[in-house]
Amino acid sequence: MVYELKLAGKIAVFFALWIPFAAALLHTFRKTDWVRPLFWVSGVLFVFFFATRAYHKSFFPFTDKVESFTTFSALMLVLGYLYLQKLGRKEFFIFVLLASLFGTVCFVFDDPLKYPTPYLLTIWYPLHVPLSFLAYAFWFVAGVASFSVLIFKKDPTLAGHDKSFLVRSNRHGFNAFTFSMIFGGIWGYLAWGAYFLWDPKLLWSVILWLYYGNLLHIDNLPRLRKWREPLYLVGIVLILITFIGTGFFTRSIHKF
Amino acid sequence: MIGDQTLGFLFSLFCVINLALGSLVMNMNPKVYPPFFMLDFALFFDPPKTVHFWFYLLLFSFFLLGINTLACSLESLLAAIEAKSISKKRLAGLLFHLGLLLALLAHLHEGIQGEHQRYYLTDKFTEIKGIGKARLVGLETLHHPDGSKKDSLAQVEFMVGENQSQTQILSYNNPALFSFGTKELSLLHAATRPAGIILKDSTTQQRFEIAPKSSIQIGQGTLTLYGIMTQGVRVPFGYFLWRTKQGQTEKRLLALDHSMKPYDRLELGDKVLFFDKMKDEPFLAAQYRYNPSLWIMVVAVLATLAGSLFLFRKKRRDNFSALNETR
Repeated sequence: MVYELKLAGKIAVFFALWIPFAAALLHTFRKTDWVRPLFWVSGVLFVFFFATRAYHKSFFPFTDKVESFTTFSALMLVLGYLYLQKLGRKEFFIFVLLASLFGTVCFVFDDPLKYPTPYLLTIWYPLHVPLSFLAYAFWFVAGVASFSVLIFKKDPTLAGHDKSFLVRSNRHGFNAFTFSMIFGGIWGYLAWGAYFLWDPKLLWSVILWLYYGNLLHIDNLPRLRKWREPLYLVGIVLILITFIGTGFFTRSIHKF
Repeated sequence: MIGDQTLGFLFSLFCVINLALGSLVMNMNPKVYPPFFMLDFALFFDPPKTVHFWFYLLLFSFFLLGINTLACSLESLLAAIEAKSISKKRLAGLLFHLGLLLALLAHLHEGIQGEHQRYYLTDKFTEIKGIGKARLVGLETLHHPDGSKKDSLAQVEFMVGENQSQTQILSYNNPALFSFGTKELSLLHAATRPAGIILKDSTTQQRFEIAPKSSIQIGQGTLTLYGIMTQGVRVPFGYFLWRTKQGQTEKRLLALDHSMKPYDRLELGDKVLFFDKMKDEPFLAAQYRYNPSLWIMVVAVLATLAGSLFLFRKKRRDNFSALNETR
């Protein structure tokens, strides 16, 4: 029964990740009526996947790398759905493709279902982790929009690429990340007496917070405004280092 | 000039680059930088080393950022006082900057004054600097259905102040707090460990208990237990030294497993001792942390939270429902 449920969850998440990609393809060919219903189907499949994981672990389902990547993908797809009319067809396609690829990585990893370690069994963990992924997702929106301006030479004054769209995406991401860091700090203080350690994941979280907090000011600085889109694009690299780099290539206690 | 936003932007970018550089240096020097170490500045100044150059630079770059942020914030505050009004956006910015400044101050204070120390608690009192004495009086381990550890509940008796006894339960994410939370003892690891071996005389059935690093007189000699090995071996064993009255010494290994006959016995002259059982004792690895700037950080967090709330604007065009504009 355990194996069958795990397999069912894996099949569900596979379709949950790639149905939105099909929807994005349809959207590219202007068959927009299908996009939202397909996203809803994907959402139901995601809920089933997370429910099977939560059932197996008797805890919130973001405690291993499979769940981490899938949660991030799911949140990116939620934003894709919400920003459907704000993003151009190319940006929407790229954004959804990235989301699907991130989640599909979970099929590469070995996936033994284990109960969470004692340190993870606290309310601060499910408060902290999804908010950080939500922040990454908002910043990815800003990054993809900036990519479109730089590579596709989109007119940045068009709706969806103007200052307010980028600022709002960043602001939402920054807010989410601020809360995430606060909850993570409380958890760290209770777990081992420190809200900050010289740990790669924590260090890079501070880097992200400072970087994107800084970017909130760029539109007030005429001499630096031309760097806005390139800096949002660099932000994507910083997110990848924080999320993936520290999880795989460092001695972090947050190692996957 | 100090208080200039462009300068502040550049200082902040400089801090970001500095932190990234520090991360790289720390990852490349694992022998210098232990995993999981606290904010205490002692590591970087006792003694100062060239490899810590990024940290010395970081102190300087955060100092510049802090001064510039303070100047900007004061300018903004003075403008608001003069205008006798302040927009939500400006108020949010002010609160965030206040939170950042207080956080920088808290980290600096914690780095200079903070302390941490690891302790191993058993059923005997251990002196814990800053708290008093503590000992482990009970340990319960909770397990998941697959046998993996779910939690450890360690009952710890503290003697604080003038021999005032108090008992607290420590578990993962549930530390013992003192001095309004500025002093904390948190559970890192709790388990049982071998505390001795009980041997039984095959003839008289007499039992002998021997602890690590101690000796007992057996017949015509002295038996010393050097250590008990349980981790990383297929069969746990005890490592002994047998010294006869004639001055001969021999090393002996004893399998601590009844199924490992005949290796579960020691032949000591005319006596034969069998392994009877192992004696375990609960122990607790705990982390003591003193953070005098905790309440500064709490105020910083509250200011930041307040700033976040003001960043959620109520304007209709900021809501998701308004995103359904066609392009």
